[in-house]
Amino acid sequence: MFYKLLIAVLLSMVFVGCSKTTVVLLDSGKSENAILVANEEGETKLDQVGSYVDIDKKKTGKVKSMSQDEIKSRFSKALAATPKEPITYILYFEPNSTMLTGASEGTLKKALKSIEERTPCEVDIIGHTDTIGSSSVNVIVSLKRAKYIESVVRKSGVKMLALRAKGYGEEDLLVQTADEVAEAKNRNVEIFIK
Amino acid sequence: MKKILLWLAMGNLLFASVGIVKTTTGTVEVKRDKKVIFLKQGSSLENADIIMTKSKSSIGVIFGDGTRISLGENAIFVIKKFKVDPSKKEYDVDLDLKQGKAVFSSGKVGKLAPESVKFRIPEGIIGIRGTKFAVEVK
Repeated sequence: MFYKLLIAVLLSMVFVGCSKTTVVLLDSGKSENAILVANEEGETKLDQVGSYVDIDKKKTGKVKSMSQDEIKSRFSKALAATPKEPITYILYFEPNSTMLTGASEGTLKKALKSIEERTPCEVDIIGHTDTIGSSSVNVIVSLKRAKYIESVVRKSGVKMLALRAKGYGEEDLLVQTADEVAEAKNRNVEIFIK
Repeated sequence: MKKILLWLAMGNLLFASVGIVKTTTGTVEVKRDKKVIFLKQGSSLENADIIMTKSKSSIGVIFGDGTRISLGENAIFVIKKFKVDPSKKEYDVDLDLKQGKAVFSSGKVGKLAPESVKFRIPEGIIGIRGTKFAVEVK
Protein backbone atom coordinates (compact mmCIF):
# COMPACT_ATOMS: atom_id res chain seq x y z
CA MET A 1 0.00 0.00 0.00
CA PHE A 2 2.73 2.50 0.89
CA TYR A 3 4.17 2.30 -2.60
CA LYS A 4 1.22 4.41 -3.71
CA LEU A 5 2.84 7.31 -1.92
CA LEU A 6 5.66 7.23 -4.37
CA ILE A 7 5.16 7.66 -7.99
CA ALA A 8 6.11 6.48 -10.95
CA VAL A 9 7.63 8.13 -13.92
CA LEU A 10 10.98 7.16 -15.23
CA LEU A 11 12.57 8.49 -18.31
CA SER A 12 15.93 8.68 -19.80
CA MET A 13 17.68 10.43 -22.57
CA VAL A 14 20.77 10.49 -24.64
CA PHE A 15 22.31 12.84 -27.12
CA VAL A 16 23.12 11.28 -30.42
CA GLY A 17 25.29 13.40 -32.68
CA CYS A 18 24.76 17.12 -32.18
CA SER A 19 21.82 18.47 -30.26
CA LYS A 20 19.39 15.64 -30.63
CA THR A 21 17.75 14.05 -27.66
CA THR A 22 16.05 10.72 -27.12
CA VAL A 23 13.46 10.47 -24.40
CA VAL A 24 12.23 7.02 -23.33
CA LEU A 25 9.51 6.12 -20.88
CA LEU A 26 10.70 3.34 -18.57
CA ASP A 27 8.74 0.83 -16.54
CA SER A 28 7.91 2.35 -13.17
CA GLY A 29 5.97 -0.67 -11.93
CA LYS A 30 2.84 1.51 -11.69
CA SER A 31 -0.05 1.99 -14.04
CA GLU A 32 -0.08 5.80 -13.91
CA ASN A 33 2.98 6.65 -15.90
CA ALA A 34 3.17 9.32 -18.58
CA ILE A 35 5.37 12.16 -19.73
CA LEU A 36 4.99 15.07 -22.12
CA VAL A 37 7.93 16.08 -24.26
CA ALA A 38 7.56 19.67 -25.46
CA ASN A 39 9.58 21.69 -27.94
CA GLU A 40 8.84 24.68 -30.21
CA GLU A 41 6.78 22.43 -32.45
CA GLY A 42 4.41 21.20 -29.77
CA GLU A 43 3.93 18.40 -27.26
CA THR A 44 4.32 14.66 -27.59
CA LYS A 45 2.86 12.31 -25.01
CA LEU A 46 4.62 9.10 -24.06
CA ASP A 47 2.48 6.74 -22.01
CA GLN A 48 3.60 3.24 -23.02
CA VAL A 49 6.61 1.61 -21.41
CA GLY A 50 9.49 1.66 -23.87
CA SER A 51 7.94 4.32 -26.08
CA TYR A 52 10.40 7.01 -27.13
CA VAL A 53 10.92 10.07 -29.31
CA ASP A 54 13.99 11.61 -30.90
CA ILE A 55 13.72 15.37 -30.90
CA ASP A 56 15.66 18.41 -32.01
CA LYS A 57 14.65 22.05 -31.54
CA LYS A 58 12.20 22.28 -34.41
CA LYS A 59 11.21 18.71 -35.07
CA THR A 60 9.90 15.84 -33.01
CA GLY A 61 10.16 12.38 -34.52
CA LYS A 62 7.38 9.82 -34.46
CA VAL A 63 6.79 7.89 -31.26
CA LYS A 64 8.55 4.55 -31.56
CA SER A 65 9.16 1.62 -29.27
CA MET A 66 12.53 0.69 -27.77
CA SER A 67 13.18 -2.89 -26.63
CA GLN A 68 14.18 -3.59 -23.02
CA ASP A 69 17.53 -4.88 -24.28
CA GLU A 70 18.26 -1.67 -26.14
CA ILE A 71 17.24 0.44 -23.12
CA LYS A 72 19.56 -1.63 -20.93
CA SER A 73 22.51 -1.26 -23.27
CA ARG A 74 22.03 2.44 -24.11
CA PHE A 75 21.44 3.55 -20.53
CA SER A 76 23.43 0.90 -18.65
CA LYS A 77 25.64 3.29 -16.62
CA ALA A 78 22.81 5.62 -15.58
CA LEU A 79 20.53 2.67 -14.77
CA ALA A 80 23.22 1.05 -12.64
CA ALA A 81 23.69 4.32 -10.70
CA THR A 82 19.99 4.73 -9.89
CA PRO A 83 19.49 4.84 -6.11
CA LYS A 84 17.05 2.43 -4.52
CA GLU A 85 13.46 3.57 -4.11
CA PRO A 86 12.82 5.23 -0.73
CA ILE A 87 11.26 2.98 1.92
CA THR A 88 8.06 4.01 3.68
CA TYR A 89 6.75 2.69 6.99
CA ILE A 90 3.35 3.77 8.31
CA LEU A 91 2.68 4.01 12.05
CA TYR A 92 -0.76 4.20 13.66
CA PHE A 93 -1.74 5.40 17.12
CA GLU A 94 -4.29 4.19 19.67
CA PRO A 95 -7.40 6.42 19.50
CA ASN A 96 -6.86 9.83 21.17
CA SER A 97 -3.40 8.87 22.32
CA THR A 98 0.29 9.19 21.51
CA MET A 99 0.64 5.42 22.15
CA LEU A 100 1.48 3.43 19.05
CA THR A 101 -0.70 0.41 18.32
CA GLY A 102 0.90 -2.94 19.03
CA ALA A 103 1.43 -3.65 15.34
CA SER A 104 3.02 -0.23 14.83
CA GLU A 105 5.53 -0.87 17.64
CA GLY A 106 6.76 -3.76 15.49
CA THR A 107 6.75 -1.58 12.36
CA LEU A 108 8.88 1.02 14.16
CA LYS A 109 11.49 -1.65 15.01
CA LYS A 110 11.57 -2.72 11.36
CA ALA A 111 11.98 0.91 10.28
CA LEU A 112 14.99 1.40 12.58
CA LYS A 113 16.59 -1.70 11.08
CA SER A 114 15.94 -0.37 7.54
CA ILE A 115 17.58 2.94 8.44
CA GLU A 116 20.72 1.09 9.52
CA GLU A 117 20.74 -0.93 6.30
CA ARG A 118 20.24 2.17 4.11
CA THR A 119 23.06 4.18 5.66
CA PRO A 120 24.11 6.81 4.66
CA CYS A 121 20.53 8.02 4.45
CA GLU A 122 18.23 10.88 5.31
CA VAL A 123 15.01 10.16 7.19
CA ASP A 124 11.82 12.23 7.26
CA ILE A 125 9.23 11.63 9.95
CA ILE A 126 6.03 12.86 8.32
CA GLY A 127 2.75 13.37 10.14
CA HIS A 128 -0.52 12.98 8.24
CA THR A 129 -4.16 13.64 9.14
CA ASP A 130 -7.51 12.90 7.55
CA THR A 131 -9.52 15.71 5.96
CA ILE A 132 -11.64 16.59 9.02
CA GLY A 133 -11.06 20.19 10.14
CA SER A 134 -9.08 23.06 8.66
CA SER A 135 -6.02 22.18 6.63
CA SER A 136 -3.80 24.66 8.50
CA VAL A 137 -4.74 23.17 11.90
CA ASN A 138 -4.14 19.70 10.48
CA VAL A 139 -0.60 20.69 9.50
CA ILE A 140 0.09 21.62 13.14
CA VAL A 141 -1.56 18.47 14.55
CA SER A 142 0.36 16.23 12.16
CA LEU A 143 3.67 17.94 12.96
CA LYS A 144 3.09 17.30 16.69
CA ARG A 145 2.68 13.56 16.12
CA ALA A 146 5.70 13.53 13.84
CA LYS A 147 7.86 15.28 16.44
CA TYR A 148 6.95 12.64 19.00
CA ILE A 149 8.10 9.83 16.69
CA GLU A 150 11.17 11.87 15.72
CA SER A 151 12.21 11.97 19.40
CA VAL A 152 11.76 8.19 19.68
CA VAL A 153 13.88 7.60 16.55
CA ARG A 154 16.55 10.04 17.77
CA LYS A 155 16.77 8.26 21.13
CA SER A 156 17.31 4.94 19.39
CA GLY A 157 20.84 6.09 18.51
CA VAL A 158 20.63 4.82 14.92
CA LYS A 159 22.94 6.89 12.71
CA MET A 160 21.55 9.04 9.89
CA LEU A 161 22.74 11.94 7.76
CA ALA A 162 19.65 13.91 8.75
CA LEU A 163 16.42 13.37 10.68
CA ARG A 164 13.56 15.82 10.17
CA ALA A 165 10.00 15.98 11.48
CA LYS A 166 7.40 17.33 9.05
CA GLY A 167 3.66 17.88 9.15
CA TYR A 168 1.89 17.42 5.83
CA GLY A 169 -1.62 17.64 7.34
CA GLU A 170 -4.15 16.52 4.74
CA GLU A 171 -1.99 17.29 1.69
CA ASP A 172 -0.60 13.77 1.09
CA LEU A 173 -3.40 11.30 1.90
CA LEU A 174 -2.71 7.57 2.07
CA VAL A 175 -6.37 6.89 1.19
CA GLN A 176 -7.89 9.46 -1.18
CA THR A 177 -11.09 10.95 0.26
CA ALA A 178 -13.20 14.07 -0.20
CA ASP A 179 -12.82 16.95 2.27
CA GLU A 180 -14.27 16.49 5.79
CA VAL A 181 -14.11 12.69 5.74
CA ALA A 182 -12.98 10.76 8.85
CA GLU A 183 -10.54 8.04 7.78
CA ALA A 184 -8.47 6.30 10.45
CA LYS A 185 -5.86 5.13 7.92
CA ASN A 186 -5.06 8.74 7.03
CA ARG A 187 -4.18 9.61 10.64
CA ASN A 188 -0.67 8.28 10.70
CA VAL A 189 3.01 9.03 10.90
CA GLU A 190 5.16 7.98 8.00
CA ILE A 191 8.82 7.08 8.30
CA PHE A 192 10.33 7.98 4.94
CA ILE A 193 13.83 6.56 4.46
CA LYS A 194 15.88 7.90 1.55
CA MET B 1 21.93 29.21 23.63
CA LYS B 2 19.27 31.21 21.82
CA LYS B 3 21.95 32.81 19.68
CA ILE B 4 23.30 29.42 18.72
CA LEU B 5 19.84 28.19 17.76
CA LEU B 6 19.24 31.28 15.66
CA TRP B 7 22.58 30.81 13.97
CA LEU B 8 21.75 27.17 13.23
CA ALA B 9 18.36 28.14 11.81
CA MET B 10 19.97 30.74 9.56
CA GLY B 11 22.57 28.26 8.49
CA ASN B 12 19.79 25.95 7.41
CA LEU B 13 18.25 28.68 5.30
CA LEU B 14 21.53 29.70 3.71
CA PHE B 15 22.76 26.21 2.94
CA ALA B 16 19.52 24.33 2.46
CA SER B 17 20.23 20.82 1.29
CA VAL B 18 17.80 19.67 -1.39
CA GLY B 19 19.17 16.17 -1.78
CA ILE B 20 22.04 13.79 -1.16
CA VAL B 21 24.41 11.69 -3.21
CA LYS B 22 23.68 7.96 -2.81
CA THR B 23 26.14 6.43 -5.27
CA THR B 24 29.13 7.49 -7.33
CA THR B 25 31.62 5.77 -9.58
CA GLY B 26 34.72 7.41 -11.05
CA THR B 27 34.99 11.20 -10.71
CA VAL B 28 31.99 13.43 -10.13
CA GLU B 29 32.22 17.14 -9.39
CA VAL B 30 29.81 19.91 -8.51
CA LYS B 31 30.23 23.55 -9.46
CA ARG B 32 28.86 25.67 -6.63
CA ASP B 33 29.45 29.42 -6.18
CA LYS B 34 32.36 29.38 -8.63
CA LYS B 35 34.04 26.59 -6.67
CA VAL B 36 34.41 23.02 -7.90
CA ILE B 37 33.99 20.31 -5.26
CA PHE B 38 34.27 16.52 -5.58
CA LEU B 39 31.06 14.65 -4.78
CA LYS B 40 31.01 11.40 -2.83
CA GLN B 41 28.42 9.19 -1.20
CA GLY B 42 26.57 11.23 1.46
CA SER B 43 27.42 14.67 -0.02
CA SER B 44 24.64 17.27 0.18
CA LEU B 45 23.28 18.99 -2.91
CA GLU B 46 21.89 22.52 -3.14
CA ASN B 47 19.86 24.65 -5.48
CA ALA B 48 21.92 26.02 -8.40
CA ASP B 49 24.40 23.12 -8.20
CA ILE B 50 25.90 22.03 -11.52
CA ILE B 51 26.80 18.34 -11.40
CA MET B 52 29.43 17.08 -13.84
CA THR B 53 30.47 13.47 -14.39
CA LYS B 54 33.78 12.61 -16.05
CA SER B 55 34.30 9.72 -18.45
CA LYS B 56 33.69 6.25 -16.96
CA SER B 57 31.85 7.95 -14.08
CA SER B 58 28.29 8.04 -12.77
CA ILE B 59 26.21 9.40 -9.92
CA GLY B 60 22.92 8.58 -8.21
CA VAL B 61 21.07 11.30 -6.30
CA ILE B 62 17.96 11.29 -4.12
CA PHE B 63 16.01 14.49 -3.44
CA GLY B 64 13.97 15.40 -0.37
CA ASP B 65 10.67 14.03 -1.68
CA GLY B 66 12.23 10.75 -2.88
CA THR B 67 12.73 11.84 -6.50
CA ARG B 68 15.78 10.07 -7.92
CA ILE B 69 18.18 11.08 -10.68
CA SER B 70 21.12 9.15 -11.98
CA LEU B 71 23.64 10.31 -14.56
CA GLY B 72 25.97 8.35 -16.80
CA GLU B 73 29.39 9.50 -17.95
CA ASN B 74 30.21 12.97 -19.36
CA ALA B 75 26.94 14.42 -18.15
CA ILE B 76 26.19 17.99 -17.12
CA PHE B 77 23.11 18.44 -14.97
CA VAL B 78 21.82 21.58 -13.24
CA ILE B 79 19.57 21.63 -10.17
CA LYS B 80 17.97 24.97 -11.01
CA LYS B 81 15.45 24.56 -8.23
CA PHE B 82 14.10 21.76 -6.11
CA LYS B 83 11.29 22.76 -3.79
CA VAL B 84 8.72 20.23 -2.61
CA ASP B 85 7.02 21.36 0.60
CA PRO B 86 3.59 19.74 1.07
CA SER B 87 3.08 21.45 4.46
CA LYS B 88 3.00 24.81 2.63
CA LYS B 89 1.75 23.39 -0.69
CA GLU B 90 4.84 24.80 -2.40
CA TYR B 91 6.10 22.87 -5.39
CA ASP B 92 8.71 23.95 -7.91
CA VAL B 93 11.05 21.45 -9.50
CA ASP B 94 13.28 22.75 -12.28
CA LEU B 95 16.05 20.49 -13.54
CA ASP B 96 18.22 20.86 -16.62
CA LEU B 97 20.17 18.13 -18.41
CA LYS B 98 22.71 19.90 -20.60
CA GLN B 99 24.60 16.83 -21.77
CA GLY B 100 24.77 13.07 -21.30
CA LYS B 101 22.38 10.35 -20.17
CA ALA B 102 20.05 10.43 -17.20
CA VAL B 103 17.40 8.29 -15.58
CA PHE B 104 14.68 10.11 -13.66
CA SER B 105 12.16 8.64 -11.25
CA SER B 106 9.73 10.97 -9.52
CA GLY B 107 9.04 10.93 -5.79
CA LYS B 108 6.13 12.44 -3.85
CA VAL B 109 5.95 15.42 -6.22
CA GLY B 110 4.81 13.06 -8.97
CA LYS B 111 1.73 12.25 -6.92
CA LEU B 112 1.12 15.65 -5.30
CA ALA B 113 2.01 18.18 -8.01
CA PRO B 114 3.29 16.54 -11.21
CA GLU B 115 2.56 19.70 -13.23
CA SER B 116 5.19 21.57 -11.17
CA VAL B 117 8.04 19.42 -12.53
CA LYS B 118 10.13 20.80 -15.38
CA PHE B 119 12.92 18.66 -16.74
CA ARG B 120 14.76 20.73 -19.31
CA ILE B 121 16.68 19.38 -22.26
CA PRO B 122 18.39 21.51 -24.92
CA GLU B 123 15.49 21.00 -27.33
CA GLY B 124 12.65 21.66 -24.93
CA ILE B 125 11.03 20.55 -21.69
CA ILE B 126 9.82 17.21 -20.37
CA GLY B 127 6.78 17.31 -18.11
CA ILE B 128 5.29 14.63 -15.91
CA ARG B 129 1.64 13.80 -16.32
CA GLY B 130 -0.68 11.08 -15.32
CA THR B 131 -0.36 10.16 -11.68
CA LYS B 132 -2.50 12.76 -9.99
CA PHE B 133 -4.83 12.88 -12.92
CA ALA B 134 -5.37 9.14 -12.84
CA VAL B 135 -6.30 9.25 -9.17
CA GLU B 136 -9.02 11.77 -9.98
CA VAL B 137 -10.40 9.58 -12.76
CA LYS B 138 -10.83 6.68 -10.31
